[in-house]
Amino acid sequence: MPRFLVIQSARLGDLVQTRRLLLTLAERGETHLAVDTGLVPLARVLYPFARLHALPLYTRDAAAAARQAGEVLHAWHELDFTAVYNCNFSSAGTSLCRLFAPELVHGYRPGSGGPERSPWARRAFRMTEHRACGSLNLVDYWGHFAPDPIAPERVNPPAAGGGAGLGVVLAGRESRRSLPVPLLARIVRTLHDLMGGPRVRLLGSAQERPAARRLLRELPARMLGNVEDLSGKTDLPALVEAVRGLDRLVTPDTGIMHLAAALGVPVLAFFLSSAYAHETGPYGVGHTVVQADIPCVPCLESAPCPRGVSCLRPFEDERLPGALVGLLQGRADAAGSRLPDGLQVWTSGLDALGCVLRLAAGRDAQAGLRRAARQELAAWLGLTLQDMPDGVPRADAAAEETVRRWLRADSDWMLPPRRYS
Amino acid sequence: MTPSLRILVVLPLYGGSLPIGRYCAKALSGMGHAVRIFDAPAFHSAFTGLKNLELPPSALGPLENSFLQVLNQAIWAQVEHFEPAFVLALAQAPLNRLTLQKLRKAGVRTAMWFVEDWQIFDYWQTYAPLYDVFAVIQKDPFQEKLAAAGQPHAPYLPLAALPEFHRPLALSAEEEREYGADIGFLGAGYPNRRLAFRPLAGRNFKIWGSDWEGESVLAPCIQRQGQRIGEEESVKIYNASRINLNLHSSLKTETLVSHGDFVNPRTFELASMGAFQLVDRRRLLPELFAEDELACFDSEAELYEKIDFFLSHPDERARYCRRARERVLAEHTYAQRMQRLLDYVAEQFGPWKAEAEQAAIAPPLLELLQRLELGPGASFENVVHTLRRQSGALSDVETAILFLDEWRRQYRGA
Repeated sequence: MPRFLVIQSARLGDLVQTRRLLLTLAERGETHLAVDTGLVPLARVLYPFARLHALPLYTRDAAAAARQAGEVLHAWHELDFTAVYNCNFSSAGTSLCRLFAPELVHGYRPGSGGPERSPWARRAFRMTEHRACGSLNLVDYWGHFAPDPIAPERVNPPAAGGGAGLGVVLAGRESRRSLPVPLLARIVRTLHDLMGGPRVRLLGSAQERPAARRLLRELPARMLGNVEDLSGKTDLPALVEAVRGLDRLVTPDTGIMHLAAALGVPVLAFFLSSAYAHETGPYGVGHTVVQADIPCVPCLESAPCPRGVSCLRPFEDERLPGALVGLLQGRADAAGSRLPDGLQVWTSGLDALGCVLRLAAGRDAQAGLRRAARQELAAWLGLTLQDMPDGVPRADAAAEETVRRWLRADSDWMLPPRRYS
Repeated sequence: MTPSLRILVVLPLYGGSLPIGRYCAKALSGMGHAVRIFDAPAFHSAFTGLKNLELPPSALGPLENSFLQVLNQAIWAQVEHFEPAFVLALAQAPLNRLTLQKLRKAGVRTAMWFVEDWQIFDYWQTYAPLYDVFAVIQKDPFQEKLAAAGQPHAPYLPLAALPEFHRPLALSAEEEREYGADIGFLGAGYPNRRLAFRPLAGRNFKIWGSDWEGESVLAPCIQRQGQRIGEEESVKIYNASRINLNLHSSLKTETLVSHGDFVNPRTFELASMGAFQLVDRRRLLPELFAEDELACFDSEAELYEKIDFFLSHPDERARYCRRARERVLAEHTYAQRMQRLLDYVAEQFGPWKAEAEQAAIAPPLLELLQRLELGPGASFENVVHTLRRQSGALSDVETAILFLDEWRRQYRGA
């Protein structure tokens, strides 16, 4: 029986987004998953089929890290893996792959000058130089590390409310990518009223407790009896239960958002700054994303913003709550007419490549290139995209040619293969 | 009748199309054309040098791009110097978009012989329209797709053999010992071949070629630890094997005999050598060889069965070999393919012009330019430079040109 190892050395959201790859491998053989020690309890809940290996990735105790890594590597040495999928451009994670023959390692493998990308990763990654035209969800980027991954429909259930009320995620890891509390409060109030006054769960880590207190102060007194502040009160398995069955989750780009999508909870997400819905939006059918759309979006997470986070301004427009009401009531025209400039509304769907966003309101100046990029990546994988139902049947020839130039380097064809793989 | 042309053949840096490019150049020379090759493999060590710097991809990538630009500058310099009427590029040749555009602008006719599987290499989508002609080894739907991509000039040009090279050899007893076997295979260890050949382990079976790493069942059959085998030696191996296996490669393992369309070069080369082969049936094979010219199989079971049959029937093997060789010599040589390609270019873009028609040059000078392998538009400086590199005594015309150059310098300096 084939035996696979997936090394996911990033954080909570990335672990959830490795779902398509893991579900694919689980159908084909014995699947092992290596994650940071802190994520093992969540991995156990999300991927009960996987044999877990705890990695000391975020510990400061060198002796303990050495001991733990030694134990893991000893265990791996005894296992005859058919293939190893290393998901991250991380020196630490990739260094562990030195244990294996290079041809067994997919994704990122050790190279003389640092981690090297395999052919699919290399080609898809070229889109990072043209992020504003991108259309590849990270779930699918990792999913296609394995040949012929499971159909996208089988990754997450379609979004459907479960009767447990409204969930609110207070902040992401990067505060620049989150809405300020007063603005969030306004949106929560609007949704609460629209949904008929359901229970509300505030979600986040202990770090978000002050934000939770501020939010409670901003909400009207009539709501407070319905609000349960769970920030800092849930471990990861309990967080899963707190999210499960919600009618809707309001969130920035967070790990909890991906968790909700994995559980089929309808997501209403707000993406700005370096967060880009076409890359890390909620996976599956029926989620909604309000995406900042100004020329500098998406930006680099690691670089300071020289524009005072101007991508936040459109979210502060007073028309936004009205547009959201129209949107959630299924009145696209009403949503479109009220949507402030500098915002787009996208709804999530699926195609042959994976999860794809379709424009529900606003304008997409990059529609042609985005479509061409998606076609190009799909074609590289041997997939054919059906015409989209949004009035953009195919990218035009000029867009296709531009994208080919972006994604196909002369060196791919003219220089010997396996230079990086 | 094609007049004598100056033809530049641009070879790829590496890969299966590299020897084919060399065979094309030899065939074109043999047909009376003045042929230069852009010898990209000569630059391979520079590429290796870059790779050995052990840089991360972010640093190596731009260097590789610069390296490819240098190659293109070199190709263009050769074009300017040699003034070819026709540039033939083999699959994976390092001709970039800019160079192809410059060639078109300069009126130099170009063709790519895409001797690859279109479904594996998607390069054609981008580059096919930039060539005047894009010759292929597969038919529809590839040709339809090329037309849709803006390349209507995509003639079907199957592979071939070079009879003066792919020929029957009388091997020494020592060579027979080294290369000889009941069953031989020369090629890369693709997944379908590994699985199909495993039942032959334990027989008098020699496997030559690379990419057989990790193959334990067939390990005793693999010769020279899977080293690459040069073209010269491959002819000896094929000649020495009583049965040469010719299973077209496939990455898929569900069906080991893939029943694909194109026919590989090995088929023609073995036939040209008069060496016996068992080849898997391909969709385009019947129009190239008749049933009594090549012994084919449709499945692994048929392969094993026919190995046993033909090992015990050497006369039958000889009959197939003779007929296959006759067919190759009659219809499947690189000279015939090159003539077909030149005819096709002429049909689509007008007849080739003889050099004398291209420029009014006095016969002694035209002869000199031809001897120096320079074009009729060669500059005076270029002629002088080339003459200075000649060894031995020069002719009166040549000497006069060198004198005129010195004379000119004298008065220019005065």
